[in-house]
Amino acid sequence: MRLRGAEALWRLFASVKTAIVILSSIALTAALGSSIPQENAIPVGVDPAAYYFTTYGSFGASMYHMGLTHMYTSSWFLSLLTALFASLTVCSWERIGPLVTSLRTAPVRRSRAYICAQPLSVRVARRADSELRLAAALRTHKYTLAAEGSALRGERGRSSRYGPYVIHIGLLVVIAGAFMRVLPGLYKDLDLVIPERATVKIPESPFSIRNNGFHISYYADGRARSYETNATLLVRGEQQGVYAIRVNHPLQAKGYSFYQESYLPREYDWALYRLTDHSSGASLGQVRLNLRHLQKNYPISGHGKVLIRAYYPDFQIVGDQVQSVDARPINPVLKIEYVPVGKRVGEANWLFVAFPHVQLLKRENVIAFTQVAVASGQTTVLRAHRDAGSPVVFIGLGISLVGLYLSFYRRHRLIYALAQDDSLYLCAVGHKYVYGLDRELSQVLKTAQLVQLQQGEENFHERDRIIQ
Amino acid sequence: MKGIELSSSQFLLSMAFAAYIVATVLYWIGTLNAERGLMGKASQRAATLCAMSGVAIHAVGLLMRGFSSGHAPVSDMYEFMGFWAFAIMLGLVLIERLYQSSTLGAFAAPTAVFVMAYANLFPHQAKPLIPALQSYWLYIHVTTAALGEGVLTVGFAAALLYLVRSASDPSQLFGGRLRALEYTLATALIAFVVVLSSAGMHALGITLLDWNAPLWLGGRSTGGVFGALVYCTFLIGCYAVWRVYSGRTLTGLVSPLVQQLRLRDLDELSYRSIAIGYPIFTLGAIVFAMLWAQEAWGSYWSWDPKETWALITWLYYTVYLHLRLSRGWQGNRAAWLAVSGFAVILFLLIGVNFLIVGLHAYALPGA
Repeated sequence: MRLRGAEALWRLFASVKTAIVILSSIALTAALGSSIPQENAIPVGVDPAAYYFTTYGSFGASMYHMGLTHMYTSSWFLSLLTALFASLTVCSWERIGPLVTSLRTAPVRRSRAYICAQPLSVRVARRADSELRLAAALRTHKYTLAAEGSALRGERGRSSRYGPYVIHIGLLVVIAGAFMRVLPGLYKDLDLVIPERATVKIPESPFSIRNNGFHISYYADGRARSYETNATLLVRGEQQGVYAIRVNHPLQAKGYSFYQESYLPREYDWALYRLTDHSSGASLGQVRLNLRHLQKNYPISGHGKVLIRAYYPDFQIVGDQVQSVDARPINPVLKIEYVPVGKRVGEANWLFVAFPHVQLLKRENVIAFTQVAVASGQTTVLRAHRDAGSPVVFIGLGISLVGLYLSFYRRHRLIYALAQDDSLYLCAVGHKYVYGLDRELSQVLKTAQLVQLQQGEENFHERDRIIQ
Repeated sequence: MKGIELSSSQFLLSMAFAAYIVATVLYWIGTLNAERGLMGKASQRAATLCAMSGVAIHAVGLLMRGFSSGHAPVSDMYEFMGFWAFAIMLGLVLIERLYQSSTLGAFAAPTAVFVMAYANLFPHQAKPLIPALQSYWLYIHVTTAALGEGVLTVGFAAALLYLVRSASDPSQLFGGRLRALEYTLATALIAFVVVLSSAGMHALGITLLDWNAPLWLGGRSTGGVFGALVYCTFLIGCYAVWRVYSGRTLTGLVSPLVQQLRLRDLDELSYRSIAIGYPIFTLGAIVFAMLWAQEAWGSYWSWDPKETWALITWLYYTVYLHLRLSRGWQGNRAAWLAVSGFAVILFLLIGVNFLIVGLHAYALPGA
């Protein structure tokens, strides 16, 4: 019993129309996906469902639940890629064999009727050495010769015919390399969020990374100038080396690559302020503010207390409103009041932790606050990556590039010659191209010093007019 | 020294822009007079010479800008769009030489002028690179991709020329397709006028169109986009009025001027341009991009909108080649595909940067 279904499926995937449908579907799906922010682009460590709801509202939440936010790992998209793989395989399988056979067994001898019927054919006067001169000329112009009796064939650029199949094979290798990640152990990709001076271990590996410090510098216009992480790599707990990791300069170690992916804003841990009497210069004491865990008031023994009236962890002026944009102490600003012993009302003041030189000193204020010390840290986000499939992908791309060169920068052409009586009939045939063939043929004739007697349907003079 | 280099490079880039404009005018004169023998031929030859000198001057200007800024001159919108215009003119000059076509310039040169005028809308000053761009790949990936896109754009110009030529033949182009061609030409002309005049006003410091969005639209500063939209609407109105009162069409005006060209040659010209540009585009925009992404971010593909649209553009031209080579889509159908391909490239290079947020969004206006 013939498997009609399997045969029909095979024939479906062997058709170029199917391939075009698959390619177009991938393009359209990709276009849709590009208009919706994908899950791999949202901030690190945030829950996707919550993020889409808070950022884009219920529309965003429905996008997430429909799966449109992981378009490129969805089963629809992966099926398209599988279909592409199938199409590439079947199309090439069906066509390579017949192509090789037809190229290898192509006739050398062509009848006079065939030659004269070609758009580009000439008849030249034949002398004793004409055929030899023609053969020599063809060889000079890099044609491969084949002879059969009174017929001669010059062929050039046959490799260009294999070009499309080389491209297809290259693309198959690329897709295989990309899909290699499903095999266990061959792929690892994680973001490592490492606070300053902390160490993070990469699971299922002997590696740990310690963030010794993250440094970032800016240009005058506010754009980033450079940023890097000074990191220590530990292998099984033992220090292996200290490295600077920055964009375009990853750390490569034992099959793993560590990249500078991004960073979190600098956060302030605590600040130490000294209180001085503005007029006498005497120091009243110090107050240490833990910015992650502020107390309501801080007593200064013998003098009074500092009350925290308002705390903005991430102080920003939006429009004409003062507010805290983030809950993390990124730009901590405190509104305080110093109440001396015995008094009910004190002096109001503002502390800008990140800007110690900014001091608000009202005329009536007696006490000045000076920042003595501050502690902050910046968390770096590194990416640990290991993909045994990536060299495969790049090899596949290389193969495809070779195929592209063969297909588009080399052309397959043949020159047929038939000696009959006192004439030599020639024609030039190009595979899927016409322009430039006439120039080629006339150059060969010129090298062979053969004079044309008769011209084909599309003669040289007309082609000389060509495109204006 | 660096200051002198920068201002000299700026001078050369402006000279190149002027050369392209002069070349465009000469190409148009050449096409108009193509039937009148000598004047047409002389004009065409002058146009080619002008284009070649423009390309040479532009190349020197780019080199000087590169030296003075310390990085490849393709790091922001101003630099990249300028380089793309250079690639279009370079592609035009080379393909013109290969195929001895001098009418191709009548459509390709104004496209390059359009792109370069658009470039001039952005701030010119050379800025140092942000960390992600501090790599030798900037020289390799962005320039090769731009070269590929330039050659594909020449294919667009040839295809548009094909359609305009075939419009005179009712058996070739009729009904809906003829109307589509008319609207395509109208859109191209209006876009050309808007961008060129905006660039001119920008250069002369005229802030006539620097309107912000009105309050009922949010009242934000839109960098002149709102003013440009109003200007576009005005020009569309002018076009409509012209159509009604003159009873003519743009196609009707332009098509008779190119009747001496052969359809089959234009078809092959468009195909060959795309066939030459496609491998360069693949190499630059896909392969080199993947290599750089691997080195910079640790992953050769992250479905970033720019990457995704580069892939979409690649798939689009792959479909074009398959339809043409395996399904016999030649002539009109192939020409429409090539013309629409330019819209895809425009979205890839401009639309993605401004309409979609992603890794490549550092090329923002004013950035």
